[in-house]
This record gives sequence, C-alpha cells and structure tokens, in this order.
Amino acid sequence: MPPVAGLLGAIAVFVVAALGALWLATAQPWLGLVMHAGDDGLVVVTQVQRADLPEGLAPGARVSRIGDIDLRAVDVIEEPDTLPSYDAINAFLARQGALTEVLAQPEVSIAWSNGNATVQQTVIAPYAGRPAWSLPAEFWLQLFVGGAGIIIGGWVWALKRDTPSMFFTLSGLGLMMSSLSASVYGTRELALGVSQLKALSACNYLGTNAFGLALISLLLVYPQRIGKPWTIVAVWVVGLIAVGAQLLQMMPQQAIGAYGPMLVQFFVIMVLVAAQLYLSRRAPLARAALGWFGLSILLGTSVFVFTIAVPALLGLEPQASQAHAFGIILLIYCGLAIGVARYRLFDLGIWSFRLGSYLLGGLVLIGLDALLIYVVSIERIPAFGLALLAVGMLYLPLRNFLGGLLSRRSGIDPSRFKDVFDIALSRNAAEQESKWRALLSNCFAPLSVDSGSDISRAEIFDGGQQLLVPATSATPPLMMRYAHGGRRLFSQADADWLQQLVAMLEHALTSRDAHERGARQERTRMARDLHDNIGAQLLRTLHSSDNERKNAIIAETLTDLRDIINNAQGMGMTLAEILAELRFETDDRLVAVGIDLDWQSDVPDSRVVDARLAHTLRSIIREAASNTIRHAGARHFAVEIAERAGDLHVRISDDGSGMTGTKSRRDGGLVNMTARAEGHGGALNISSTNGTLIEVRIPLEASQP
Amino acid sequence: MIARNLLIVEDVPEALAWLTDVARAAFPGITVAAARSVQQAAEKIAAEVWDMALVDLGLPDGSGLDVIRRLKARSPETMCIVSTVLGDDANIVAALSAGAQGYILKGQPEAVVHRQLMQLQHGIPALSPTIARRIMEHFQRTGPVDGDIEPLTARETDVLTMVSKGFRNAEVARALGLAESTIATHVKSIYRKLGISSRAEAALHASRMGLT
Repeated sequence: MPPVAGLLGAIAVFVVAALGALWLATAQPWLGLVMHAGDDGLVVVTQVQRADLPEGLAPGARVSRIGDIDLRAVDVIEEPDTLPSYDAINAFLARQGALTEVLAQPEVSIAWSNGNATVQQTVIAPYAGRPAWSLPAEFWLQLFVGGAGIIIGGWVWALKRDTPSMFFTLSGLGLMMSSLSASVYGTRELALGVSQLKALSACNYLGTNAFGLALISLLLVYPQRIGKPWTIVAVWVVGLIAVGAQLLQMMPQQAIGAYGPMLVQFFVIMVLVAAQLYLSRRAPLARAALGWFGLSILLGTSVFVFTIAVPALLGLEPQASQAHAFGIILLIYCGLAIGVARYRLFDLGIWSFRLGSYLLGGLVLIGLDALLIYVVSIERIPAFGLALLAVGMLYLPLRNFLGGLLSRRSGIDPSRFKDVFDIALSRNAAEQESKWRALLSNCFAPLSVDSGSDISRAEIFDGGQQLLVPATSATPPLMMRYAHGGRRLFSQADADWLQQLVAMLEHALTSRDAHERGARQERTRMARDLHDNIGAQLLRTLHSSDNERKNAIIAETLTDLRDIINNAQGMGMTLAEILAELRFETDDRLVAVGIDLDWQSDVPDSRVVDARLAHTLRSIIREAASNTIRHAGARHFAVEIAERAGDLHVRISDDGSGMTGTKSRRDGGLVNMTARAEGHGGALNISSTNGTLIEVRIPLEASQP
Repeated sequence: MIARNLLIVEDVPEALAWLTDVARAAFPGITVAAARSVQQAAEKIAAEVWDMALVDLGLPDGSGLDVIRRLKARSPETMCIVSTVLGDDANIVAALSAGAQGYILKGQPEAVVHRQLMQLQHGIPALSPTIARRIMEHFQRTGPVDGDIEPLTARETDVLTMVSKGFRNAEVARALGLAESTIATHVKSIYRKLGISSRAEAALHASRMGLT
C-alpha cells in the first residue's frame, strides 16, 4: 500500500466522523439563541441568531423558563464530566431529556426578563434543524483538532509502519473521538437527547483515555524500548477498566472517575518523558527529537489537566473552555512536525512533508470553495474559479517557497561542477585537498573537517553528527562534523549529495588522467615517427653524395613531416587515403616523363595504419617509381595493392629494361626498401625478367617489431 | 588571364628567392614584389592592385589567411595562391575558403611547381586527394542548413569523389567523359562554393553564439 493510500484512509475516517458530528449537531431543534450560564445561576442570552424573535429578547436577556421547566445555569454547562457527583450527572441527564422533549414540540413558551423589567412570555416555534452557520467557533475548532489528530497520525503511520507510529496514530484516533464528540455536545444549543448525550460523553471519555494510554505506550517504546509488551498490555487493561468503571458510575467519586485517570496518565507521561530523556543521554539525536516531542506532549496535555481536570478534582469551576483546551493539544502536533523536520523524529525527514503538501493544497482549494459558496454566497462555478485562483496564486507559491527553504541544502548546485573540475585540474596534491575541503565546507558548512577513516561510500555516522567522506584518487578520506554550523544533523540527502560530489570528482580525475595518458602516448608516437622517419631520412641525405638524390629525399622528408603533422591534428590516416595520395603523386610524376600508370588497389575503406607503415609503403612505391623513371626507359608502370589474410600485398612492375643484380644490390634505395619491409616482419622480392617486378608482403596486424 | 604583377609574401629568404626565380620563369616579364610579413603585405596591398599573389601561411606576425582576405577585399580579381611547405590539409582548406584559388607545395621539385603555376594561370587549380576528402567532409557537415549555401552539383561531387580516390584531373575527365578544362571549371566552382559555404557557416556559428 503506498503512503498516500494510508494518508487518504485517515482523511476518509476523519471526513466520515466529521460529517457524522455535523449531522448530529445540526439535526437538533433550534431556537436561535446562544445561551451561557450567568453569574446568578440563570441562563443568559449572549447572541440571537434568528430574526423572527421578539425585539426585547436580545443579548443580556435572562431566560428563566422553557415550557414547564425552570432553566438553570447547569443546563448549558459545556462538559457534564465537570459536575461533582454521579447524582448531579444523572439529574443533569434527566433535565436534558425533559428539555429535549419540550424543544421537540412545535411551539415552546419561553419566560424571559430583560434587566429589571418584568418577566415576559414568548412563544417560539423551534426550527426542525440547526443551520451549520449558527454553530459556534468552538465546534469548528474541535473538528479541526480532531482532524489534525487523525490525519497527522495517519501521515506518520503511512510512512513508517512500526510500533511507535502505531501508538502515535492511535493517540490521534483517540483525540479525534474525544474532540469530535465533545464538539457536538459541548456546543449544543440547550439540550441533547439522553441516549445521544450518554453515547457522545462515553465516546469523549473513551477517546480521551485512549489518547493518554496511546501516548504512554508510545513513550514506553520510543525512542528507547523501556516497557515489555506485557507492560503495555497492562497499561491498556488497567486504563480500560477505569474507563468501564467510570461509564458504569462505579468510581468512588464522579470527579475522580472523570479526571483521576487523566491526571494519573499525565504524571506517567511526565515520568516516562523524564526516563526517556535520561536513557537517551548518550544519543543526542534521539534526545533532541524527544526533547521537542516530549515537551510538546507535556505542554499540550498540561493545559487540559491544569485548567479542567485539576479544578474539577478540587471541586472548582473549569478554568478554560474544553474546546479551547483541545486547541492547545495541537501543540503536540507542532512539536511532532518540528521533531520530524529537524531531528528525523520517527526517522522521517523533510521529504515526508512533501507527501502531504499537495494534498493540503487540494484541501485548501475545497475549503476556500466551500467558504465562498456558503459564507460569501457566490455561485458555484465562479466560486470554484476564485478558489482555484487563490490556491494557484497564494498557496502553491508559498508551498514552493517553503519547499525551497526546506530542501535547499540537498539540491545539486550546478556551479559545483566547476569547483569539482577545478580540483581535478589542480596539479598539486596539497592544493587539491585544500580545494576539496573548501568545497565541502561550502556545501555542508560543517564545524570541522578532519581526516577520517577509509570507507567506500559517503556515510552518516553517529546519528547524523558526522558525515564520512570517502577518499578519491586525489584526496584522503575525511570526516565532517556538525552540519550547518551545528544547527542541524547530516541527513541521508546530504550523504547522497556528497556521494555524487565524490563520484563527480573521481570521474573528473579519471578523465584528466585518461586525457594526459592519451596526450603522452601521442607525444611518444610523434617522437618515434620523427626519429624513425625524419631522422633516418636526414641521415641518408647527409651521407648521400648524389645532389639530385639529396633533393629527392628532402622532398620526401617534407611529405613525411606533413603526415606527422596532419596525424597530430587528430585525423587518423586510413590506408585508402594514403594510397589515394600516393597514386595521385605517382601519376603526377610519371605523366611528366610520359609513363602510363596502371593502379589497382583493393583495400577496405576502414583500414587504418600507423605512420610507420604508411611511410614504408610510400618509400617503397616512390623508390620503385624513381627507379623506373631514372633507369628503365619504361612506358608502363603498374601497381597492384591488395589485402589478403591480414597481409598487405604490393606488386609493382614496369616494362622497362630491368635491373642487373649487382646494380640493384648496390642501390641504397633498394636496400633500404628491403630493410623497411623486413622491419615490419614482411618480405620484399625483386625480379627482372620482363622489366622489373617488385613483390612486397607486409603483415598489417603485427606490424610493430 | 595574363598576370602583369605578382606579390610574393614569404618570410624565408631562400624560399623567397627560389619562388621569385620560379615565378619569373613561369611568367616571363612579370613584375615581382616581395613582402616578408603581414604588415609589409598590407602596405603593398594598400599601395597597388595585384593580379596575382603567392602567399605563405605561416608569417612571423600573423597568418597568411589574413593577407588573402586583404587581397580579396582590395580586389576580388586578384588570384591568390597559397604557398606552403608542409601543406597540412586543415590550413589549405581554410585558405581555400578564405578565397584562395589554389595552392602550391614549396617542397616539390622546381619543375612540378613551375607546371602548377602555369596551370593556375590558365585556370587549372590544383586539388589533391586529401584536400578533396576534406572538402567533401566540409560539405557533408555543413549540409543544406541555409538557403545561402549553394550545394555541390552531382558532377562536382563526382569530381571530388574521384580526385579523393587519387585520380588526376586528366583521368577524371576520361572517366566522366568530359574535357579536362571542364574538370578545372568544376574544381574552381567547388572552391568558390567552399568559400561561400564557409562564410555562411561562420555567420551561422556567429549568430548561434549571439555575436551578430
């Protein structure tokens, strides 16, 4: 089940419960009077919500009698649990029952007085239902608190299915039960039916206790597991027995039954928070998280305990409205949110907020829409458009801004690429290390960067207080302490980001090495070509006595130099290219002295050869052409080149006079040709039957000696 | 075209002397002036219109490409010939696209250079297999990206392909059933289009980079 499904499930539970509460609250007869207990034990009107009531019946008027029942301040009490005894509660319930019957009549006579004036009688027809708009803010506040409880509980449960989050979710469910039922009976206009009131009150009591018991269970297992499973079971058994006893009115005293368990739970929670804080003293992460969470639980519940439970136990009036006390319980959830955001409470991080944020946007949209339709009374379609506009213009930018603030530190900043490459291109190891340290400091703002131990991947250590940086081929392993100047802990996002930086640096270093290796190889190759070809040819020129020959060799040397330069510019030489150039040049020379060229070449286009073989091939063909031009008196010159079985076969022939053996042996050029072919592991054979025939075989693959 | 005056831009004194001799032999009665740097060449170009110029690419104070551009700017009629020792392809193609009509390799025997100069004067430009290959690559890379670039005709492509395989103009003419002078016309046209296309390409690059 994906996390969103869990969250949607929680929302669905809340929506059903909230609709139920709304239905119960609005399905009651309605007088249109908001009444509170007055100082004199009577009921005072504080607001008139109907326009068809007598003029004098205004805020400040005292209502003394409804139907045949004398009204008392106790009838409008918010929370019957604050009554001192079971008898008082039972009497209250009986009066509520009687009032409900009166209000169910089509017409109700009301006796009321205004200041010192005499009592007046008015007959009012109660409406069959109470409109939703007339419900007081307290109703909506308690609805909101209940929703927050279950939805935030569902959020944690959706993301983290373990025992602590289960108890947390359970506490949210308890809170919802408690506050939603209180929202109905606490904000009733005057009376509710006995059975409804009993059920809602029981629901409220059960929910409140479940909330407390779930928090106790949570603190028994989180962050340290200090309770055995049976302890938790015992907590629930005892707690539920107390609930049952109170509902059956079997407690020694009503106030003790109603608020005793709550007070006990509060002290247990306090002790557990203290115990957990003590046990986490060596685990700063858990301690920090617990600090927020425990403090907010205590704050949130203590308001309830000290303004309502304790006064009730002492037989005093409640010091705050129960509905407002519920509002303060929301503090718990603020604490939770901060705990998650800053200290990965429940092991959740910033990312977990994203789950809810678009959903929240949707809810804001629906809420605004409803507000515009029902409160501002705008037509449905324009209302939806306006709501959409508001969400688009306000909520989404706000969300993105907050999202940006929250996630800024783990984003990949493209400007870091430049820094990483700067490090890779630094020559000096010390400079590389100092730049790397500077980059880490820029990215994570740790309080210190020290040398660390060797690890293979970036790793969070000590609960996020340290982030270990693996070594690269240029930098030693490092250890960063205390992210962001100590204001936060390292997160998994930081570790991932660091790992990417390390990988990037490693890649840049490898690329640089590869490039340097390539450049070195190329320099070596050029040096060898210069030495083998140019050097050897200049030496030949130096020791040659023939002036014309000297010139020829120098011209060849220039061509070879050109090869080396062109090749250095990164264009590989294919054999086909070399042969084309050679053919062109040879034909040019032969045409000038009236010799025909017959050139057949059959080599694959893709065949690439090194400069040395190119030079050998060129030397042989040039030498052969020169011999033909100089000595043979030939009319045709033929060259056949083919690749067979990994060898290059060259067959050069002319129809000239041929050469005598002694002459060919003495000729430096021919000796040189043979030596070159043999240097490649090949062979050169010269025969002179009809003209001269030179056959050369050069292995293409193993051409390196 | 009969050239009346010739500017030789060359920084190596021996080469300058040699080229002057070869040029005088090839074009009897021609006036030869010499420049040893881009600076001197610029002065000579400003002073007078040249019918023909032999330009070395590697000059002490800059590139011969600059000189070619100046000559062409002064008078598009000037026949610019690149003279180079090593004849590395990239530089020659660059010079051709800067407006040079041909090139000679100074390392070649005097007779060959003499013949090449004569041919150039008669409008037969030199084209070696490697240069042909580079030009083909250039046109393939440029492609029909811009209406301003005139693509090579099928015949021109045939000529380039054959030359790149090592056939001389005469052989190409025989193989394609054309006159040798027609091949020379095709080569000149290829050089001209090379100049246009590389100018268009440069403009395209410039506009892509937001320079214009």
